[in-house]
Amino acid sequence: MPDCSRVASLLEKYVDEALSQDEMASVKGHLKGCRRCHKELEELFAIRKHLREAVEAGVADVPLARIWEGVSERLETPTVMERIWWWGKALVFPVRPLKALAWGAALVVLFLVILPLVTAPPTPRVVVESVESEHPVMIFQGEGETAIVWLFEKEEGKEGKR
Amino acid sequence: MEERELIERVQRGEKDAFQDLMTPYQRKIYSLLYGMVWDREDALELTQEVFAKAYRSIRGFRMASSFYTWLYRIAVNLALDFRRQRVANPEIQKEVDPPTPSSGRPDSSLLRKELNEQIRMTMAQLPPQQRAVLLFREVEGLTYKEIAKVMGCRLGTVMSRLHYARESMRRALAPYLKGGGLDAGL
Repeated sequence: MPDCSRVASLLEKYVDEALSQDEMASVKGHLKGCRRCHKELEELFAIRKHLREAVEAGVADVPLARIWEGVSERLETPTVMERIWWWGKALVFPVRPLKALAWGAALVVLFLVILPLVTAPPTPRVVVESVESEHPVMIFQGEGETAIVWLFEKEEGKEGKR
Repeated sequence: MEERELIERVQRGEKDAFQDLMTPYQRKIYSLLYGMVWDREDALELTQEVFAKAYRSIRGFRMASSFYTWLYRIAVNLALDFRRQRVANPEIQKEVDPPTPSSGRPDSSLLRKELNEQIRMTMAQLPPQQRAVLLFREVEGLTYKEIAKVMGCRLGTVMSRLHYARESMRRALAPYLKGGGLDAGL
């Protein structure tokens, strides 16, 4: 015959019917002669009974029809993922291929027109290589190999000008 | 019509078949969610959400597990998310005064109401995972193995959560258990 501490550890499994047949028989035998363990067992069953009743009291008049109404309503409204999927699908498998092709071509042309404007080379940088006192020279050097040379004539009593 | 056939029809996109498929589970799922959130309107909203989510993801259901296990998993995950949202937004938590055990011998309906309120309060204070395990075992009657499958945890975890939840219930209901158990007073 097992002692109370051993049975106490098995009582929960007993109410959950999770004991082996041998353990079950052993616990049953102990319970017949032990008032304390029997009371603990009663409490476990009582907690189950009253928890069930408390939940049942709350769901007794559950409006089942409203459940489907709400589900149906939710299914009518596409989720964000569904919207993304539909857009993706429409792009890959368009309903009107010719129209989609025309739109695609127009977008490519637009892209090709805008691209050079956006990526146009900057205005050539002006670099003054040298200015001589006798024959002033100014050289405008572009980014490439092009260069513009300006010659200045010096006037009496004035600074050089073009 | 068999459940498997209904599932296959829904997987092919027949929405009407889904209504037939969910009918036997409506009450069970609502009952579980009511036990988790303890509010009828919230439980109703969550139940609708569970079935809508089940419909949207049923193509991924491979019949390897039973349908109700799969459905319970969706339900418990949504209930846990709901709980997290409530914790993050405490202003929307509904406040209820804790009940006090009646003195003397009140009539049984009053004692029942008081006891239900005490159970509700205790459930609300339990960690949500313990609450779910307790409901699965005590109300839904699932085995340890089934609970482990639904919750995605080990058998030992199920048993320890169940034990702690029962201990909390036992402590909270102690005033009502005096005098030879609850039935003596009701």
